[in-house]
Amino acid sequence: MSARTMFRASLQIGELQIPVRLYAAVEDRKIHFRLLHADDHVPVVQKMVDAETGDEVRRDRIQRGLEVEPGQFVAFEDEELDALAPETSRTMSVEAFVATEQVDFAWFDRPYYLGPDGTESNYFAFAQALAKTNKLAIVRWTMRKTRYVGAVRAGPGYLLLVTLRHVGEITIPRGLKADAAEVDPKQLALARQLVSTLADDFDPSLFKDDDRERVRKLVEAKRAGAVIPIAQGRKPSETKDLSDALRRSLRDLKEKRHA
Amino acid sequence: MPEEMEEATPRGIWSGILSFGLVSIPVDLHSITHPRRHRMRMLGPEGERLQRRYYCPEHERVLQSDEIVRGYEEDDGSFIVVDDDEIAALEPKRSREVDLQRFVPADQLSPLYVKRSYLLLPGKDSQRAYRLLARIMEETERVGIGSFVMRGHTYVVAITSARGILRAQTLRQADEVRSPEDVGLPDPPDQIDRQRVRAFVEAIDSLSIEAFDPAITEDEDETTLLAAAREKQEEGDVVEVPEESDDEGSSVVDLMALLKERLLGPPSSAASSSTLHDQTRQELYERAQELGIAGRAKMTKEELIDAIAKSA
Repeated sequence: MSARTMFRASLQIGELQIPVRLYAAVEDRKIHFRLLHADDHVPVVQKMVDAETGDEVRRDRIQRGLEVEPGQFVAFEDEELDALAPETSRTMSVEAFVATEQVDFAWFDRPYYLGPDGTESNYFAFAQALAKTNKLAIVRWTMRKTRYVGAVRAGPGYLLLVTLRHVGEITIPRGLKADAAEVDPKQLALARQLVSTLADDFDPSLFKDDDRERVRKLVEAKRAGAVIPIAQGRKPSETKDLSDALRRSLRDLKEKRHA
Repeated sequence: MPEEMEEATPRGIWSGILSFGLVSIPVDLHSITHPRRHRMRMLGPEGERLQRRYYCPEHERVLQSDEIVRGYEEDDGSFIVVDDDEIAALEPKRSREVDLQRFVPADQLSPLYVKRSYLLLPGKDSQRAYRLLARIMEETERVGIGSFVMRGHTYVVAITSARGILRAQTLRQADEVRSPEDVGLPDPPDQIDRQRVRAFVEAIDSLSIEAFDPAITEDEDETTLLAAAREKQEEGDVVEVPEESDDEGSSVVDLMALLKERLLGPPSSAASSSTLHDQTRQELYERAQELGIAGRAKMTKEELIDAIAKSA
């Protein structure tokens, strides 16, 4: 099954161009409910009311505004906003390339796949060049009257595009120089052993969404007219003796393995 | 600096225990993503502040939050009705623990799976264990995978470490992420044109920058809109809007200062904010849950404060 193309563009890298198609990489699996009036189970509609009086304000009387000073707004008509909106452009321009590890995860917003549109040779050559240099491309494009900034990365043999959050929308702590002497070497050795015992590959199929499953069961139970029980977890407490906890952890894990 | 300010309490949005093996590290989870600074707001014809309300088209009136139920829509358009208490009964118990059950290579963590990034700060007296975990993950280039419960939802997280600071990345479920095959991407050919690859490598080199500059992510739509707004403002084309009854009570926390204090300085003593206004909506929601307040899921922060104050 191939997915729906969301957008077609041309990736512009200096003089070089790669026609691409954009596909959503994530899908919504949430179970959605609608809000209903309890009395008659009629779906509710949203209305805007005056915060002070509670009186309804009709759609055509509502204005949209941007706060410029506290308590001071500048209102915009729909036509004014339309005039300000950027034109859709088929060019996805590369602003710069930067080492992959330079872009913190906090910037990443939503992932998409980029697939080749027509000719494939440039697409695969670019994916390989990105992987080889271990870099990502910072790109800008305009889609559905909105300007986006994104990062193009190489997956193994394909291109991934992740939209980026904007400057001012995140705070990344710069980090403090951790002093090596502050960590007890014995504890470090124990911790190293513990991590290697718990070492594994990244396998998302191991993550289970119990929440979703529970909601699905509730809906099914309500169809039939029943209710389901819920499980509980254990309560951990703070570690007092770090070395002792590390040692006991290793022993526990070994016992589990030999059991 | 505005970039370093955060509307939150020093305790963050979740407090709990990070555990690996039998080592337990009390931590606070802090949000590092904020909503955009300039958002369009809906206003009344005279600049009145507006609120969203639910309305029954059949009864032609605005509904109170306790008059609303949730319905799962069946194929035939009928609804299976579930009420708040049934949903609440399903919610996983608040878990105070993130148990790191496996440590995976950091480079296997793909942005396909990363949903949102949070900062983890050591709780009181847990600096040593916190530093040890940060240090060992950096050294082994591995990230810890675990799960925890927040806001009535279970989250799978990848705990990463950079420069001695721990972060938590919430992850998507496997079935929320499409594979290249699902999307129908073609397989790479056996032979890739070396000359073309070389041409791209050259282009990459010539357009490369040393460090990622956050300014490169500037929101041009916002800049354009703001410039237009300033222009109209200078012409006096403004709408005066009555100030919101200013009891939001959100305290501003300087994350960097908090970070330094937690990692290096004396443990903070001002961590417990006692008034309802100082708490986040989520904290209030959880309090309302404990008190069994009906209709809490649809209440605003102010409504929650009201309801809690009344029932206490």
